[in-house]
Amino acid sequence: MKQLLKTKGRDWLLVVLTVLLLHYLALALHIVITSGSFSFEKLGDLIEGRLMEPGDATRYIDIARHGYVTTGENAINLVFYPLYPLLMRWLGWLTFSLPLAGVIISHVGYCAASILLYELMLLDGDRRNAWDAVLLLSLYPFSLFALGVFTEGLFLALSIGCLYALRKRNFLAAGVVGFFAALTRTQGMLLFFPAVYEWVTLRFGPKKEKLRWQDAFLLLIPAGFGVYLGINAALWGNCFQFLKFEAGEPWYQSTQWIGENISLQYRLARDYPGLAWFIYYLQIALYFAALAVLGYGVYKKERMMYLLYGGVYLGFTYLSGWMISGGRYMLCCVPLFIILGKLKDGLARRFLLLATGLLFFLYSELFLRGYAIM
Amino acid sequence: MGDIFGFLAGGGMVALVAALIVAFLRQMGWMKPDAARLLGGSALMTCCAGIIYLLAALLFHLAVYGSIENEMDLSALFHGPYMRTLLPALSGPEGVGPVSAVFAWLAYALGSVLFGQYEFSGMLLAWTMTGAALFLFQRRFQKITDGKTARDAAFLLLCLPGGVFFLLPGWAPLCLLICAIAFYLVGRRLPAWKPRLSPVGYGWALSLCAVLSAAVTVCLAEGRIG
Repeated sequence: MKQLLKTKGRDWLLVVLTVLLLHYLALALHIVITSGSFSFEKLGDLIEGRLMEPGDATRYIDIARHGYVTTGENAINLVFYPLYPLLMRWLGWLTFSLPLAGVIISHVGYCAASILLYELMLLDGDRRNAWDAVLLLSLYPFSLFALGVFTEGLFLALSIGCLYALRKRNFLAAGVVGFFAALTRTQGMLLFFPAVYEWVTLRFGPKKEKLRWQDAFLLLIPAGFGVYLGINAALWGNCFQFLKFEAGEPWYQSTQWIGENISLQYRLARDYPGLAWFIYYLQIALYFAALAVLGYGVYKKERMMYLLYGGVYLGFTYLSGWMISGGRYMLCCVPLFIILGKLKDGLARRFLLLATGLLFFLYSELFLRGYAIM
Repeated sequence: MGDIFGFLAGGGMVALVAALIVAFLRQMGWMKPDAARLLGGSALMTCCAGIIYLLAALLFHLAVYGSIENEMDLSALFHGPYMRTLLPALSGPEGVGPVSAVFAWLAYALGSVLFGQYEFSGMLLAWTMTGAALFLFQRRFQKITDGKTARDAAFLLLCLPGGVFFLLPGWAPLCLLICAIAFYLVGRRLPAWKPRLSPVGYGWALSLCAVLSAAVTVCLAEGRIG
């Protein structure tokens, strides 16, 4: 470990500093733009107001405080997965503040995710590729969510960790990390697809390596989802109670074919022009952009494991009707950053970084001003 | 416009899944690289032909009727007697002939998987069957003649007057696939053959077919046939 820190420590520190600096620069600029001068007190207020309270944050805090409940208006909090609020609860004993605990978990998770992405990229490419991927992840227009009381930071760390373990063919670690990822978000169970793919190619592909007992640990990934279903069953007597809650107020989520959802998004954009560029057009554009990136990955013969995860993640995310947080959800579609990080053309890379940088600041600023970015 | 976006989004995801399956088969060594290339070419050819026929029908519809409520609504674009019977049958297979019924059942099963998108499933199935038929046809024809002639023949097949039916739900794509499978199985016994069609002759045949094919598409869009 000491040796590892000695050789990698500088790079890791640089990654963490870059990621945090970019995000805190956006926060500081917002303060300067809106109030004329910067102070740490204002920064604290901003973090409290925009990273600890908006949207689903209050629901995570409520779960961390009271657990899942079966009565009252907070019964619907069952739709949120348990790992993140559980960690908040444990860390809250040390920090004496659940929101602060949530922010710390997200910060640590996001920094760990960036380091893991950096290391993952180094397995197949050079430092430049690794840096590009990390910068693109940091400058993703909705990456500010990864630092707040949302599951994005933790989920990114767990999903990239699982992909890293799979890439190293360490099925035991992949299974354990994947288990926790599946307890963090619905998309966590999708890691089972690249896991099965890696297992099939290793054991039944051209090399045909022998089956090992550690392979069974991959089943931990669906088991994580199984635990969540078990919680549903234990509390409500129905494994899929969360689907009922998702279909009701305030989410109105249903499962529909992607084409129908995209048509719906377009209609909503026309009906609600005030929200179109924050939510609806943006989600349509993101879908086609992600599809194009994955198609480019297929053309460039990117690793199937990443393409498979990216494709399943994209498809699964856009199956949900009445989606309003597509931008945030797509932050965790890690294969996009892996594929784009490997762009060879210098001009395209620069253009991409410039465009994402502009959009990152723009959408962060709008989010911090309280616009409908969820 | 929203329906076109929806169609492109759904089609794009299906194309991505197909590309991933082919890449997987190649990586496992279960498909040869030249077969994968040919499959990709056949799929591309089918998609291009399908889009051209749909755009032609849409353009005609807009020119004649002025507007259309739902751009991707097949029953609005093609409303001949056969299509009027077949399109509703995709969501509950009944009232169509035996060959079409097989297609309708398959489309119904696929549509149920795709959250009730029966028309989209019918189109997807038709395009998949035609693409697979083109692949099998070219694969066997390559062995008898050469790759270029096989490609030209496949192209001509899609341009045949009435070629639009290969890209619409119904018996046509299913029959084409059955014929292609039969040709693939029987064709291995055929001796090598070099057709003597000159580039000028091929171009002439292609132009004639294109004009006639457009006429059939217009009749279909107007509901005079199909």
